[in-house]
Amino acid sequence: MDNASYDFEYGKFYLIYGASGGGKSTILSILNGRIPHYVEGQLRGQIIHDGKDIYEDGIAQRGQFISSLFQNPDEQILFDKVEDEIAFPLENQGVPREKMKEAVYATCSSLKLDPKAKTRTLSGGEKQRLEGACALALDNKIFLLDEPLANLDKESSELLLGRLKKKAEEEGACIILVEHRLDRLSKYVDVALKVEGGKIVEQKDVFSGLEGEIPPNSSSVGEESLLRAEKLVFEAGGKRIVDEVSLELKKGERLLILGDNGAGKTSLLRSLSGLAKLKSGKIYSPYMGKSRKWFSNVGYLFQNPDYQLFCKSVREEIYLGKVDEEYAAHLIGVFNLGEMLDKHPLSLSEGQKRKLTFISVLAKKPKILFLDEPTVGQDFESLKILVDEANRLVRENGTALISITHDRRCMRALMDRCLIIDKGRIAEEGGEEVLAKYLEKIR
Amino acid sequence: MEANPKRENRESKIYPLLSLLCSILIFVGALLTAKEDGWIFLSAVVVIFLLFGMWRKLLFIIPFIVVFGGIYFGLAYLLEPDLANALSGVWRIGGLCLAIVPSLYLYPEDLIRSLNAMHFPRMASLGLLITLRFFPLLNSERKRIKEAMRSRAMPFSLKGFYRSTIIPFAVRLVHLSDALSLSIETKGFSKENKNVTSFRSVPFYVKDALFFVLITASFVCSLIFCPGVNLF
Repeated sequence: MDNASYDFEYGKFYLIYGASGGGKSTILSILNGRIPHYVEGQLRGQIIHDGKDIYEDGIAQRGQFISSLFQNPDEQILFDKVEDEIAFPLENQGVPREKMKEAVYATCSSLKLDPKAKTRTLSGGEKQRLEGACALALDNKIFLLDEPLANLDKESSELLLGRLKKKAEEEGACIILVEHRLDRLSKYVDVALKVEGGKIVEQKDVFSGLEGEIPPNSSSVGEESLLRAEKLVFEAGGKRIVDEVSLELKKGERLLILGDNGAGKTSLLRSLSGLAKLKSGKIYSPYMGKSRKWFSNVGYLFQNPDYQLFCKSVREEIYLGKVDEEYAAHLIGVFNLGEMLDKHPLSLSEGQKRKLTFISVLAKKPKILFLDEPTVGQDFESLKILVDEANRLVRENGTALISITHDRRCMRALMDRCLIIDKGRIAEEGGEEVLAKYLEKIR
Repeated sequence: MEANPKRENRESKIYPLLSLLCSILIFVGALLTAKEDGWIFLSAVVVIFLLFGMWRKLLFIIPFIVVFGGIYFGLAYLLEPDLANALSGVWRIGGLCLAIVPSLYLYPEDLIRSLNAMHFPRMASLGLLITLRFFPLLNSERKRIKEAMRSRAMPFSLKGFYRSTIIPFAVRLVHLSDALSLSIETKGFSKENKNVTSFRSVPFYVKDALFFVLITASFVCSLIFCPGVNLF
């Protein structure tokens, strides 16, 4: 941050937006105490709350009036069951048991969570919802949420945003949200702050939210079949997550997988890519073989960029294994990661990590590319570049592309054909007309 | 006190604090009796586990005892062909592994609630909570790193294994411990909190006391009757 000052008021819903690496999450980290107690650096200035400077207060002290939601829900989940996870902050606040039970079950009901569900069986979106529920369950006055809509479907987003808006309007809470998915926010936001280079550069009291949509482009689909799946079944924890799914993907074809949180999209992608062990079903591909041969021709972008990073520098991460060095250099340039090549991958912002994992996967020019929520942490400009590069690979390399996204900004630009998954099965399949119907449903 | 309270986690066998105490007793007992007839104490512990239905986790831990005990025995006997000496190491390893069994049935939420009920120091509760959550997360991390390596078609080499498994694993350890502490603190957990409540009480059953008494009795009898034990 660079000499940033602002007065946040109770009863208002603030949006902080801007390009990746601009300092948005840093603001939240300073307010909730993560900086400087967990992140090293030099911090100067004051943080005044109710007339008192809370600069010296620890995170736990601030936790008595600030609820925080971070970007990676997996690392925030502490307990085995949903109800215990939501109850924990209430226990720490000394809420009486009966009132606690009411709050827990009311929160579960309003966010459509099963209180008895095991947290490890939840999908990425459901975990995000759970941590949102933990933040909301507290009777706090300030809510700091870092990309809470990542991985959430429309219904889940609206449930969460609706509860937050109610907190602001009816209970006078101060909601401060960092988000890139601006299209969902226009009817909730009171004040939008644009952050760039560590400064608040713009304030809007009327926020339209609409950034537009990346225009679709055509691709030429070949005849050669690169991937054929027959009656795939995947089970976990006694539940059938992928239920007899069959599909085929041709050279240069783009398939988009859509569906609500918990429908089985990521499990399907993992099953198709060979990362998940199938219960039954067969996969055919000209690149089939031992794991190394298969993954030399297949690229997989994980939903959480942290899962994919294991080298000690950005440079090492990108150039690991067999990569097309010229293409890698081009991608580094377009994504502006040139100055970060010597940094540790885990020190990057979430948006930068996503760009890094994207480059690492594309640099080897895979023949089949699986993208699981590629838009996490991406502002509109970065998203356009990402989609352009994915489509360029499809066009020039004949790569077959399978994507999962909830982000309507790029759905049309990533598909020739789409599948809608419901309870592990293909509910609908088709082209533009199916997507149009789906977009209308989630509008 | 709730009427007819049930322990929610069905697999949770023993009252959490007693689980921890019994784990410590088993470990200490195994160390003290290892030199002579250490198998007697460990056999008693196994019988007690079976009586209380802990066979599932016992079956899980046995391969570790066999593998690590076997490796230790082999190396110790090679260095010094003394059967009693080699076996004492096996009993110690067995004791360490068996000591883990009651804790494998421990759920963090039950442990924290029982510690809160006893007004245990909050810092100790914090440490235990992070530890209990840490190991399952670490296991998930190990799987994720393995998957990430696999998806990058990494050829196997010792240098590659070190660079792409050990190093990221170590980095993730530090990151994980920070992330867990942060999550706990932002959910209002602090050492200053005196007024904490419980979502659910953790009931104490007669069988919990019986388990503890049996383990303690085995421990005490081993100390008294095992010829090799010299406490003073």
